[in-house]
Amino acid sequence: MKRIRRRYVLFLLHTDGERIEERDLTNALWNNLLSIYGEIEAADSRLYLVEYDGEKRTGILQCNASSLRLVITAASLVGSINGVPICFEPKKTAGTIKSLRGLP
Amino acid sequence: MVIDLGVTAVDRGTLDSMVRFSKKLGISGIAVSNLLTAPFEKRDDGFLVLKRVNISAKRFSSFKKRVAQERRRTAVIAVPLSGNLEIVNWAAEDNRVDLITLDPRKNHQLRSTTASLAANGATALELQFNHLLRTSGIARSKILKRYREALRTAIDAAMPVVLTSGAQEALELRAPVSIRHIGSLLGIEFEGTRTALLKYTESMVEKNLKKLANDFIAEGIEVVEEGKRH
Repeated sequence: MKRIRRRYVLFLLHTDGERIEERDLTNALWNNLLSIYGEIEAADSRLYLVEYDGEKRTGILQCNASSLRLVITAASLVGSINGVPICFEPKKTAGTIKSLRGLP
Repeated sequence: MVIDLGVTAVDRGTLDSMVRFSKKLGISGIAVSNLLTAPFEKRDDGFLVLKRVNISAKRFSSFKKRVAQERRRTAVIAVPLSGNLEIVNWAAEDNRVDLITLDPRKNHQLRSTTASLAANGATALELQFNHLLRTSGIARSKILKRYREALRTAIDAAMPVVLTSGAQEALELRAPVSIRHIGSLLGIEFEGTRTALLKYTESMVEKNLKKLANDFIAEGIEVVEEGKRH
């Protein structure tokens, strides 16, 4: 069986001060990916929110390597979550989660 | 140097918050409509705030007059893609006009003839992605269709393309890497997005700021050293 190559994206979520819950963020990312690229691409992306700090508004996304660009595009196009305007800023992408941990 | 050429701020407070947020995202300049009086402001930290004017007119003569007036006092001139072909084609061909803006809510298409004229006049097609942030589902799909069609026409005719935020609030701005990804969604090869979307903007702004300098006379002619009167 072919091994799936994963990619990790360290991101910063900008808001106007309101806290965004992890579940709401996951739903927004999935819904946008589904809406833009369809069910097949969304399923193949294997998108998963590995870490999220609601206070610092930083987190790490995991996805399939071949879907990395689709995931970043869909996330960048999330304009608001539950009526709260947001800006998703991808900070760094890497092949291992270890290289992203500890980064600002 | 990444510059967002399409920002609207209603007051100084909004502009300042946009400038602060742009810096956080790694943007080094913005062009703002309806606020500045000077053609540009260079802040202490080097951040560039440019004056942008959107010119639309019903009559061709008044449109031409307005373009001539604004060129000497504005850093970026944009013209909306309207149904008036005479105005749009003239704007596309005239090198004083920087951008032709496609409004996806209106049913105006970029024609290949207009795109060819724009390619010769170095006028770029402007697509504002804030429309994509505010919509979802079918509404967004229709906007994507209009943008992708226009972009294909522009690329085929070698017309430059500029992707701007169209932001009215700071949180509608996006980081340069996000802009490149949005560009690839619209149909630009990802590897080419840096040149197509970011580098072109930089060279356009440099050229326009040069034109606004006191020693500039015309394209290729500038005062290098003033002679003394005897």
